[in-house]
Amino acid sequence: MFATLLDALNAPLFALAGALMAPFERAPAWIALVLWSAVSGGLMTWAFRYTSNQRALRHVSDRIRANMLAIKLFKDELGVTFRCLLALMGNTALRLLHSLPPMIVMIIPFVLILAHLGVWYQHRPLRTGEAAVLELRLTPDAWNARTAVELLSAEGLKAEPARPIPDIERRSYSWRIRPTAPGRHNLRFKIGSQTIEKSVAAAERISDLMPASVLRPGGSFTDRLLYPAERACAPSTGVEEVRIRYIDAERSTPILGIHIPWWGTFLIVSILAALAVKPFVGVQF
Amino acid sequence: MPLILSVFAEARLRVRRRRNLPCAAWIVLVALLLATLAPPSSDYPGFAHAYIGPGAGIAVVGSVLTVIGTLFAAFLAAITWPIRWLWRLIRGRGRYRKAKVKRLVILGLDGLEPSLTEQFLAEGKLPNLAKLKAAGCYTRLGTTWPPLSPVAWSSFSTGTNPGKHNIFDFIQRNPLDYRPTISSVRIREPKRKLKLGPFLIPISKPEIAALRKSQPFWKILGDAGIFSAVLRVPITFPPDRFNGVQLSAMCVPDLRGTQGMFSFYTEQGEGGATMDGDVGGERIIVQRRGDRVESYFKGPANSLRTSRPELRVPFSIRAGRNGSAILRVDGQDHALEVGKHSAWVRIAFRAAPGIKVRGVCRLILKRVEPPFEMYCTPLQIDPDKPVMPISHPVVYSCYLARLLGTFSTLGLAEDTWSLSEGVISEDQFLEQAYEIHAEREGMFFDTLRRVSQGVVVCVFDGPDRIQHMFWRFLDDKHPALPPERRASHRDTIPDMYRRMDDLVGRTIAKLDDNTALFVMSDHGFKTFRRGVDLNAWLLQNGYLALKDGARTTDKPYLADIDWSHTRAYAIGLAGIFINLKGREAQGIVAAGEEAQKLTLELKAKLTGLLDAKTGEIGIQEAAPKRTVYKGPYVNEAPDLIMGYNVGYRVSWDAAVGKCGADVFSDNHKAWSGDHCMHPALVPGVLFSSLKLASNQPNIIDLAPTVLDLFGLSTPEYMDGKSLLPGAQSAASGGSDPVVETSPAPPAKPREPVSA
Repeated sequence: MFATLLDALNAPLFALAGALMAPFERAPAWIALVLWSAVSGGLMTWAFRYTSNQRALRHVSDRIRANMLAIKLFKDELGVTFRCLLALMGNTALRLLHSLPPMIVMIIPFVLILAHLGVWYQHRPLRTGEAAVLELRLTPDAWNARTAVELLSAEGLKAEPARPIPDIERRSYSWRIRPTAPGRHNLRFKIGSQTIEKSVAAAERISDLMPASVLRPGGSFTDRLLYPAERACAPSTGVEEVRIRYIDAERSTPILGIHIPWWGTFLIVSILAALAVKPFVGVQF
Repeated sequence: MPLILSVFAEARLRVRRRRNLPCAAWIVLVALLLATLAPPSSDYPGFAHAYIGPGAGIAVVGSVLTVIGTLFAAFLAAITWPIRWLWRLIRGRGRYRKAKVKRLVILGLDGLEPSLTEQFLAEGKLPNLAKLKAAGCYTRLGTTWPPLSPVAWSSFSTGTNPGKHNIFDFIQRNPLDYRPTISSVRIREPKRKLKLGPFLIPISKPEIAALRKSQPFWKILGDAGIFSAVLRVPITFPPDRFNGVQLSAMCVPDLRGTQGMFSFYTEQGEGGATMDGDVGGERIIVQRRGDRVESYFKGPANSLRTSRPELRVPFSIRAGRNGSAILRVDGQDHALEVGKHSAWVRIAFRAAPGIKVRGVCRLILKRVEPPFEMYCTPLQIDPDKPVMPISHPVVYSCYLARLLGTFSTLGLAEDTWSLSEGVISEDQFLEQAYEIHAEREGMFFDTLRRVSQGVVVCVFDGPDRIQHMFWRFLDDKHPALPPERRASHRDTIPDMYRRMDDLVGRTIAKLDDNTALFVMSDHGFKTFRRGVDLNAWLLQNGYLALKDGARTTDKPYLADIDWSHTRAYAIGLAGIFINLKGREAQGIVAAGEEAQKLTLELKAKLTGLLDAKTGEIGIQEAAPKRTVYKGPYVNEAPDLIMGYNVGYRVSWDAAVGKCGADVFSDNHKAWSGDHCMHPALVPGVLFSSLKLASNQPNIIDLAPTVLDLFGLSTPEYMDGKSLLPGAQSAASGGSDPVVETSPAPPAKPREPVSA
């Protein structure tokens, strides 16, 4: 049920992400990342305010500050110092405890945001002419039933060999693919009597901003969550996943020449944005 | 795992209570959380998914930093403690080596009256004070002349007479323009400012100078390495710098720079001040728009702009259900309940881009429906973000605010003016006074927990304010109250004494055997039925003249005085000034023999001044200042100090420099008890857990006693003497009798003055 729900959500969200990213296709990739990280940070701050016990958090924050000041004010009283340190620990734990409810409430939107940002920033597109390994894994049942697998077409791509290389241990078939033109291409497979597709992103320059889906999930819930660009293969196809592997697949999104993982940028920018909007939202973290 | 589960359970319950999420949704949430925490695919960053939003991110980062900082601080404190201890030992600051007690706690109950205390003790209503008396001692405590809190507490802290600490009254007059100013502090704007368009950028510091001279005992103790915590002792603004912590009290201004102006919001009448000068309140007319009432909080003048516009923060009030209402200010909602004090409301006035002046206030919504009425306390300095230092160190007030919540910072925090003017009721005033008292108790008991060695002093103003405002309920002859109303609050003052006794009991419970406790008051209390208009007397007796030959004036601050024909004038509570040539801007009395002769003449005429209406003596004694004070600041004192009889005090008009028609007049204000009388009539009280030797202790003896308890000798300049038995015999008993503590001399009645 959850998987179906997730599949239903992923398609419109992917379309929405595409629309939001569209204005930045020609701009350096980090601009959209910074912008949407900041927007997410602001929105999450607002959400945090209404999903947390602000009064309790404010109280705990005040106690933490008071105990820190007490250490300074009564520095000659060793007993006070240690009592305050203990109180600091206790209040810190309490603060974390009060942060849990908003974390739990926000986990759904936040994981979805991260997953969809990941589609754009986790992997770079393939360069035109660059070789990659295409691997199609089957479920144990499909593998044991010796289901026939065939690559029907690969527009804009060169795939070889014509007969895939099987891997018994991994229950998979592999091809070498090489994009011949930039753009989003589709590979069509025939698995038994059914056909499935897998998209491949190719670009002239790897810095071009476009969604790069390296995996089309099968039945795994985690894969469906983390790779939302393509609809999961139906269980009846017997496909566990279709994956593209290539060297240095992770995208680098340098900001002012500094290489930071995209999620690092997201973390820093969203926190900074949260701190910036804090006085306007009137929220206590 | 059990912890995680319990956290989930609690979170689930809380959110469920709020939003009533279906169970399935919770399963989704938990499943998603587990899925997120599950090992991710090989090429996906798991860390990214451990980060659940900036709010939680900041909480986690902040918590981690706090834990690291805490561990570091603990480590640092542990390893440096022996080094610090050794350092003090080497430097000869074996601070507590000669101390007779490890800790001294002084509980100041401002204005506790000995006659009532003794009566209630005899009736068994004050069991804790009785216990203290039995364990140590109880005595009446001589006070200063005049017996006013700023004067008496300054003598308490410095061990000197007013001639050495320079505080003679609440106010002092500037001889150059005769205008009154606060006696204990001088606040001036920065001298140098840079004009940038509409802005004035200060390029030098504002001046906040203490006018109380001499050294308080906590400074002397601090120099010897002994720690003191000084809470709300009057005349500690600006705060002293010493080894300890201090929260300022009396004379801390409100945000507008006054000593406390309340606001009264109404739909009726005209706006403006309710009284003359910087006291009382201000009426502000509100606007009604539909179901809302709109107005503004009035802040100080904006000194950062050339035009000095008044700073304002708008607010609106919307009626709610069951007599409640919602105040909306700065985007925040605050609940108001008719007839009750609101919680503290924080207000930020925007003085310039990025510069805010922050204040706090409380409100009492009196009526939501037309005609709308609301009372607002004076806007007080926010202790968490003080616009000027109100504590030492500056962060001490922040510490208290964070620990205990926002609190009153105004010097005279209990708003007696609003009760006097009928804006709030007796019960609302009491509610306010006891809430301020509770704030103070919180600070006091926290300090007792924190300070194991040294001195803890805390003054509670409640007894003084409550007796000022409720004495009329005890006095059957008081003109301010019709007899039928007396029963309503007859028990208020006795109840207050019981509450103070309870405070003493709870304090004793917190003390160990090495702690000494003093419970004291700075002066006593008596009824205030009749006011003495000194300016009217001076005018009627040819010492003072008004402009154009007028016989009375309603203008305050001596504005209508004809100085060319005035030899003496009165302003403030303490006494009379000679219009001295060379000292006063328009003085006409020559210094020396002429001034002395005039002073003695006035003394002779005013001592024993009779009130014809009652047949009682109004003024017990008028004394030339040099017979009362000695020290370098005697010249700043009024030339003739007044010692009023019980039931009398300077009139409200004369105190602000007006001149009325009658010398004696009934006091119709709620402010019905007072202590501005002859000091012999209003001594304070002193309870001690230690046996004390002096038979006539005075408030100036407390500072030497404290120093003696910690093994320090009394400085030469101090007028007081230690009250400890050994020291007493060495000093041949009692303090230097600068201040009279014996019963008032019988005064000869002078010619009656018709009321």
